[in-house]
Amino acid sequence: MKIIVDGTPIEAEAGESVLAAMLKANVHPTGGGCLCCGGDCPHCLATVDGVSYMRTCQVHVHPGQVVQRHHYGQVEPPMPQGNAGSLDVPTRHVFCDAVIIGGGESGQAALATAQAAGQTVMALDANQGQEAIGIYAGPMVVAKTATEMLQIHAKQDVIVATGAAEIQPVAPGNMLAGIYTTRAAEQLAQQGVQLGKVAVLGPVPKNVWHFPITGRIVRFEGEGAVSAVVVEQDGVETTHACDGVVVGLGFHPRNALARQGHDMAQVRTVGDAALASDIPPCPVSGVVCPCSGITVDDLQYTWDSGFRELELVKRSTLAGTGTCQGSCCIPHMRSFLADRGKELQAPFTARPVTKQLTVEEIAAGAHFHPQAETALHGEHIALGAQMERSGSWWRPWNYGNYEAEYWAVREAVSIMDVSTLGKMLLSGPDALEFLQMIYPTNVKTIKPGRSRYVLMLNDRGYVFDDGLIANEGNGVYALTFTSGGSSNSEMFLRDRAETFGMDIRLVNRTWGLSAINVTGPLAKAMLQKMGVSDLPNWLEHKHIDVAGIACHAYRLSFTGEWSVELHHAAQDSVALWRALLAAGEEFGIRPHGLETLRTLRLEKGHIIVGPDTGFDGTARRIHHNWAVNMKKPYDFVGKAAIIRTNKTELDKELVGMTIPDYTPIEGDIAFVDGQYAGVVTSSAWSPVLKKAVMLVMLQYIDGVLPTEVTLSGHTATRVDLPFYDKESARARA
Amino acid sequence: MNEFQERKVKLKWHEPKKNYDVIIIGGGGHGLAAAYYLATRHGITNVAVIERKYIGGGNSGRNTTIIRADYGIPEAMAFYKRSVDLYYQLEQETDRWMMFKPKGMLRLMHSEANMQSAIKRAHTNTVFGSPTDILSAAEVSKMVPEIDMTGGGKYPVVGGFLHHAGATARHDRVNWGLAEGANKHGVHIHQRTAVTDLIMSADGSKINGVRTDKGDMYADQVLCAVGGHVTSIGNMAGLRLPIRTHPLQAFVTNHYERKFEPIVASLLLHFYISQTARGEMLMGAHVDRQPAYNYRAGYDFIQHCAHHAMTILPFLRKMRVLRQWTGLCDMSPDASPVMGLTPVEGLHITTGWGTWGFKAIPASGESVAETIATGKQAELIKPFGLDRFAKDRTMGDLGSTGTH
Amino acid sequence: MPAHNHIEFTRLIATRIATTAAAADKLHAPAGSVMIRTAIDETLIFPPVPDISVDDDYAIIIEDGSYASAWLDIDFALRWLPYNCAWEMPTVRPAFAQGMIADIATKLYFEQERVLMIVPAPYAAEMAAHLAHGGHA
Repeated sequence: MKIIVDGTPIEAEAGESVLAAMLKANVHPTGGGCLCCGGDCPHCLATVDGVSYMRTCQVHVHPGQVVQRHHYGQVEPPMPQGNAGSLDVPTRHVFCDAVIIGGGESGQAALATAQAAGQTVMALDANQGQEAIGIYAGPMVVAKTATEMLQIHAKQDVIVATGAAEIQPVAPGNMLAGIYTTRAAEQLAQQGVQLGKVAVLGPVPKNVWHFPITGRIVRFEGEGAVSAVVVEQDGVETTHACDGVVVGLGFHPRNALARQGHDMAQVRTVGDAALASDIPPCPVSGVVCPCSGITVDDLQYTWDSGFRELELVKRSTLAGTGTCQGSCCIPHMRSFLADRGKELQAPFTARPVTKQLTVEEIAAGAHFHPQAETALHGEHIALGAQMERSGSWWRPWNYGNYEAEYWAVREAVSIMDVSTLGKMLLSGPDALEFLQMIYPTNVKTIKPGRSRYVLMLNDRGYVFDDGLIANEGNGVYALTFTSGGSSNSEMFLRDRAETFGMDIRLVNRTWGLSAINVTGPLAKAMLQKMGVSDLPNWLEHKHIDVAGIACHAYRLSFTGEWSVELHHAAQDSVALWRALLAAGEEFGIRPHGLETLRTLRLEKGHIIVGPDTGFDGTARRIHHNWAVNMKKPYDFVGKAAIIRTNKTELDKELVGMTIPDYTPIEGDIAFVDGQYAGVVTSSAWSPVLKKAVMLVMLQYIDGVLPTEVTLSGHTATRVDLPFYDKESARARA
Repeated sequence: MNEFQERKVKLKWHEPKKNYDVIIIGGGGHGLAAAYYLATRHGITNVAVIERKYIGGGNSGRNTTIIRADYGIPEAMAFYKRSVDLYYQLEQETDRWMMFKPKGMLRLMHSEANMQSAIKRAHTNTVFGSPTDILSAAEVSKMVPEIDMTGGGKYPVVGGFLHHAGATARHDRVNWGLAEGANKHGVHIHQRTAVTDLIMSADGSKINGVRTDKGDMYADQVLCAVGGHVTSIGNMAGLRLPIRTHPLQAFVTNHYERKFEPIVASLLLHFYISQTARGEMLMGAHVDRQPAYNYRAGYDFIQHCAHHAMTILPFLRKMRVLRQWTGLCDMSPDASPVMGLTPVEGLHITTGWGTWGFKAIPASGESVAETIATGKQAELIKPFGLDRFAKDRTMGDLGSTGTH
Repeated sequence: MPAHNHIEFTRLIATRIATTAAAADKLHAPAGSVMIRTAIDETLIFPPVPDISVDDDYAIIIEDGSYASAWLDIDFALRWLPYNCAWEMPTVRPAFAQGMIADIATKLYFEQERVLMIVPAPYAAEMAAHLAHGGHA
């Protein structure tokens, strides 16, 4: 077969590594350096089939494979093309008793023991393409195979049998081609690479044409490739001419995985990976860190500059931060620092990822946060709605005509899907006591059939949600929360119930109950025409049928117009929505989205918890003291904080402001005489009032709340809220 | 050598003395900066910095090196703008190369509501002196051609905003430059010296020094500038600090052969990415939800961060992940830092650095040094005192931290 | 990795009971219905049993459509689930298990030949897309 190296086809044999094929064609992947064939060094790296920094010793050839040697910074490469069609890498979860990492002798022994003990075992052998990436909490072992990623959850044992890497030679000329570790020489010879006649220092590799040498390596000589090696013994230097040099300088454990799992009881290291590292003699000269090009002289300079901790030496030279992540340099750096500092420092922290993965392999098994759809999602799409991510929900932003939607509410009738509201049902012997502790209002005074707007406070007295309490009678309460707040509020309620030791029953019905708000001056007439005669009065709630569908109807208003909120089983939602649209046709009905709602509620001065309340919205800052009953005999959540903070001077207030002819953006900054005076939290042009209306978190300046501020060069004037229908006659109608 | 090897900084080491004017606990960026500004701005040089491990080994050597000032509240914007300004002059002032590189920070927007919040934030930042421009989708694409503007078909990029002051610097070099700068004026730095207790007055109202595994050291002024374990030090002085510590993770790929600027972030997709001087692509996301003190990296984080980043920047798919690491973030309840005086006489703190500590190093150092030197809370950090929680003057800024 | 683009979720109408742990322990579903204990204080029975008696005066018993469900063929499920669940599947039948799949809180009811996958109804479309895509969604 042929593979393409730097644009030129070369011969390759099935089963051999890319490295072997390249060496046979007299192409060294990186130009030189001692090859290890163990995946430990950076000397055989190349881009293979578009993935850079591949260890070619670990990659088998296949026909048409494209190999490019690295050309740092020479020419700006072409812009990478998108991978829109590329398939994601799958991740498989495996549950077993034991995972054994390493297929060498100690790994095989561990496997036999585990199997004899009857454990279910997952064995990973890097030589079979199963690379362990890291050990994470669990313990969970992440591994990569040719086709997928594995997340292995081992219940009993994680056996690390990753063996040891061979120590690289450090001497002048050590970046020449033609230098091999013992194991590399053996493996390359086995794959048919002609190494020539090599000088062998240390153990003799099998089936390699060689002659032995002894002593300390002084330097390697040659142009591009080694032609001779100089060794020193007993003060005598000898030069040996050769085609290459094979070095056996000892081992240091491949223990990155072991160190990741060092504090987990299930993780054990066996075999060579568990051995202490051989410490080579202190290097005198030559390249210590090939990835970052750091020499012994560089280490000396760094030492002399005051950098003496291994970590600081690493950071100041960048030795150990390259592709091999310290595999080549750590033993030599430790030896160097021990020589200078008289102390053998521990190797630096092992961090995942010990074998390199691509970003898409790492991403395997990840996904985006899911987005929820209400039962009416299809209806909105069919009506041409522009959908918006609103917290975890898709919601209609508008149906293409904001103005028309607005006037439908103000002058005719409109509906809005408010199914996203949090909805819960509460009962239990302690239900009332519990609510008294949670909410700042006196819940006891909410009579059956009545409902009340409520704030939710945290322990600091800050508003974090708002909603409704409806008394259903018989000690049962229906609660609502904001769309974004439902799961958070459920956690809050359950947590507090447990903390207070309260005996309650709670069901979160948000997913099962849809809600449609029917609003506008003609809404009541429309519903009556639909045969609904028993509508609840203002702030009451009732179970009624609308279009034959059972609804829990709440009279309240966020839009400022007559409104009824119809809560109903989600499976009936489409039918109800269509029935309302059909019945409303003669009244000029049109659904509205969030964009319209934001203006409508702003005209009424209604806050949106979050944007208008900010992080530190206390009831008094947002003018909601009426919603907090300090006299009721309960230490409700936030009460202690309110008592404390009410003693401090009020520093800012949420107020209404208007500008006749200019609409500032939300977030615009208010100034008084050039001094910061607050921020616009909500802002809109009011079509009905024909001026801009806004909520401003306004600062007291020298104890006085300004009556006028400047917003982007325009004067805004403080007015009383609400802007529209001050007596709320329209809402209560 | 390589072009990024530190070749200028020289560090000096001393034997601990018994008495100092000021002791700084924590040899990270904040502690070293306080020492640097004490020495260079106030002539206070009888100072010891005490470090349990090695200098810059905590969060100031583990962060994603982003410098920016696009925060959400006026007090924070003023503070971070000062920090960015000090960063701009720090290289020159110390005559050390910190690889400071202004490159702008581009935040991507994926929806109408997203875009509205971008307009709001860009406006606010511009008003407070950090020019920030709104960009159309076409301008975003032109600036960073690598971006898949369809957002993988799911998160289309509809526009963005460019915060011009956005920059990166090499974190280690900032730490070393400050250490050397302080060192030169006589400041002692003691590595591998662990504080085991605080030496308090009999009634506990005043601090007199620190107890360490290398002996006791005395000073009338002590600054606690530790990261990760600040509550432990607080406890030694009887101070309960409103801090929770969460791990934060980051990872880096091998080098990308094209120049990639500016810093790119998506709040909706929770990731940010920049290119290091060496060309590596550096990515981070939000803090782990569960508070913890260990540095163990989680797989879930890296999976999701990688997934989100490669969705917007498909070229990342085939990039190789080099390594992943963790820092410990001290989160305050309002996502703003806590600096300056404490109820204990002589004890100062700088904490609550969450995920925004690196960019604040110079301004925090400068202001805390001024507070120590004058005994009065420096003007710039008056809003950020510990007393704000009791006084209901919190500095809520969760929206602009990008950590949740 | 296997993918499946023919899965249609339909709303699961069930009787949902919130009661004390003790009362929930004593619940018996009539023959032909499936009862799953989704939480210490919550039980789901389908098809609905509106007149079920619960030994708790305060029990909340409602007919509920919060979830949507789809039957998966057991062979497909056993091939697909290991690629999508970081939790172990039960081996006995019938069995109930629940956990996150693609960030969606999912309940699985295993029978001999099939598995009922139950998800919050608002996330049914996301889960169907996830199944069709074979993994990522």
